[in-house]
Amino acid sequence: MKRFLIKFVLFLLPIGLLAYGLDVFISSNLRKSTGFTKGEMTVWSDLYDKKVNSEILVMGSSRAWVHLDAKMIGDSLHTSAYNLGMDGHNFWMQDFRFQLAMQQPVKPKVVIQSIDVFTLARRKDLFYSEQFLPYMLGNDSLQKVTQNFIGYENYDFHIPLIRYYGKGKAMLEAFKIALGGKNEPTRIRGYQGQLIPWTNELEEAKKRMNHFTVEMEPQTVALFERYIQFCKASGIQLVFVYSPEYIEGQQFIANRKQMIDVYRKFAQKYSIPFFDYSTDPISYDRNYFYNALHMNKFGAEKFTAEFIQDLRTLDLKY
Amino acid sequence: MLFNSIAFAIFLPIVFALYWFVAHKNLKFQNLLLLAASYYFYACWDYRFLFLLIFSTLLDYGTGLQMHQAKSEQMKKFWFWLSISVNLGFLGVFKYYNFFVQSAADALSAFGVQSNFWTLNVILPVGISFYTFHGLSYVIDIYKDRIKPEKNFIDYAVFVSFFPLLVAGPIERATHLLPQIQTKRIFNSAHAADGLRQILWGLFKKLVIADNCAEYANMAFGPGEHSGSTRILGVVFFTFQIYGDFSGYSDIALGTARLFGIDLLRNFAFPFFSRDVSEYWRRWHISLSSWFKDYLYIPLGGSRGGTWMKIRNTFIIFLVSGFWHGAAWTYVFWGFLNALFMLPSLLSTKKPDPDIVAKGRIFATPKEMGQILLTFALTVFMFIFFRATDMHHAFEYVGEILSASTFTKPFGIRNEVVWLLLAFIFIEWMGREDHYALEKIGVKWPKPLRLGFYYLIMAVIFMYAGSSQEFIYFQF
Repeated sequence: MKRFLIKFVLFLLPIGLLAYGLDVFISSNLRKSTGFTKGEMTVWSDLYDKKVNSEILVMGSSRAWVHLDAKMIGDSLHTSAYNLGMDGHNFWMQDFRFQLAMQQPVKPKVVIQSIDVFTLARRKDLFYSEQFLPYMLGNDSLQKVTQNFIGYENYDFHIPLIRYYGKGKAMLEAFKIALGGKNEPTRIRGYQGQLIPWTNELEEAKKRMNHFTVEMEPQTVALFERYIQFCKASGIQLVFVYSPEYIEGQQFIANRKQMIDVYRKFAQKYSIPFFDYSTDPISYDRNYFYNALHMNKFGAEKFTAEFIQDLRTLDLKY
Repeated sequence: MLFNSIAFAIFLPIVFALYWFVAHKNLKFQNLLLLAASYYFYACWDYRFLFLLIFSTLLDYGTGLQMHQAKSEQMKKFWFWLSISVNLGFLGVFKYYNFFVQSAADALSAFGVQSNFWTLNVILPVGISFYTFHGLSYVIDIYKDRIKPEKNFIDYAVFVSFFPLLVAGPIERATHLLPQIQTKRIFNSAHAADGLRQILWGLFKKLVIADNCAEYANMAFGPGEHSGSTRILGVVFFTFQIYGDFSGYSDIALGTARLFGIDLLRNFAFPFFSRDVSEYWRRWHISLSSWFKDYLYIPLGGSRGGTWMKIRNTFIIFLVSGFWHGAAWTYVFWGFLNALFMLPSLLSTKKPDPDIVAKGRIFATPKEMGQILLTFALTVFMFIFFRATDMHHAFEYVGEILSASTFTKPFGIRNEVVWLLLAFIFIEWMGREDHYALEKIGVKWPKPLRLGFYYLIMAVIFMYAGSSQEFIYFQF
């Protein structure tokens, strides 16, 4: 019996000893990945490595990520800008990125908050949960924010390597980077223009249902208001922008107007400039979109140029 | 508590340590510990149904003793039928009530009679089909004077509830398991190491093969339009899923039992290398097939009444077997198809080969390969009915396979899953003469190579475990 147990422990020992080293190796390489999880790691790494350092921040979901060219904004306004847009996540996780941005040596002076019908909703799953992998070990703030989602367990944040269980693609990506594999930048200052043709997702959604109703989540609304109050108190100039949305998609969301009214009320209450491009000519031209919610690179760059002109009308101080 | 959960990874070493270090000097204490651990294991699913399990155990224990002590044949019969009726009654209520009510309502409505039967939101107690069959075999064996009743309740309760087999088998026999429970177990390192190896292989089958195949199968059987080629691939993946899932579970169960010095019945013997459907059923869910053979097929007359009786009885056991799997017509039809595809073997006068295909050789002959592929194709076809939500869904699925879209490229295959499947089939083929594929592979290799092989399997499990899916057979 003793011999058996000793043998068994000796068999498992190398795994235990290697776990931490492997974790460090995989995580340190994975965080360099530019393409995995649609480039989200580029932004997380810039945040954790304190490389965001921008006076203008773009915040929001995937619509922010693919619609607002931060470099173009920064160059045009002669300052630094960074796009923190995050694919698939509502405001709950966007706010976490904002908190990390506030820890940068250069604090933001202007925050452009891209809003959409899903900003104040809340999803239960941790979308693209792999994007958090390299930053998790011993990260209490990330643990706190992700525990509200179905994705990771508490032990994933404390036991080396265990969170990589079943994440073979992430591990292979790390090894690929370590071996000098292809890893070209995909996001520039957080923005990534999309060269994707129209996907027919809207047509397919219409076949399944007549309308879609978005549910607003009270806790997220409260968090959103606290965020506005924080910006006001910190002297950060907040700008709301509702970037173009393809007109047929607008009609598909049953309570779109009510959702926009919520933002409008916040804008009025806290004197926040609100640029709504729902009826902009771009919204009527399908050539500028790859699905109902997202513009392609051409649409995004045309829109960014237009938005910069509108930003110039404001008396922004940075 | 799933075998592939953190909870089980904590539970198992604790029970193992208590069993071999604290209770090892006293057999009664060891059995009591196994019973307590088994009841805890079961209560983790749903503690309410633990009472049902205890009641069922008490019933069969009590009726077993009463039958043995009965002074008249009439009293013996009474206790026998009491046990059978209550056992099947529980199964009927928890598993089949809604099915019968719905089927009756559908039949009446076909004749224009609208009925207003009540269907109940009955939760199926996990493992009920398995422990009920344990109890039934015990009671029938006593009634037929094949065994004497167990007087020690703890020993009998461990036989019914031993946690590795409690929720998904193998379906044990009193003649096989009870003597092991009654005998002092001595720790055997080689035996325990073999158990760990079998657990490792079971985890690979479940986490890598079954859970990855499940993703594609769920998509192909799920809503939305899919081409015939996607549907074909979907059911092939489902076939591997259910094999990986159930045989993986059985491997973990057998391996775990071995850690406690107990050997459970073998449940799978490389069924996908069968040369006909008859052989397939000698290799798939063996403990259930042999249960039906001993307690239904033979009492019905088996093959003693000639070919037609053999055919009739085969159809009966397969229809019942289908119904055992689930309260739906799809399972019954699946059972019917199995019986139908067994006809060639039933009509053949050739004695079946008890050995695995190509025994002692590396490669099968072209004829054997053809037979294996044909049997596999038939199995895959039958699993459409096993997996479909209802008969309409099944026929719609078959219809799509028979359309021109079968000649298009299937949607969304993950290359790594295909490679893992090929590696799995290769290892299964190489180890097909043993009890499980990993039993002897690498055992004679130099130690570093052998350990490296096990580390590699662990690494593959770690990297490629699919998204967690419930064990399919828990629902039965």
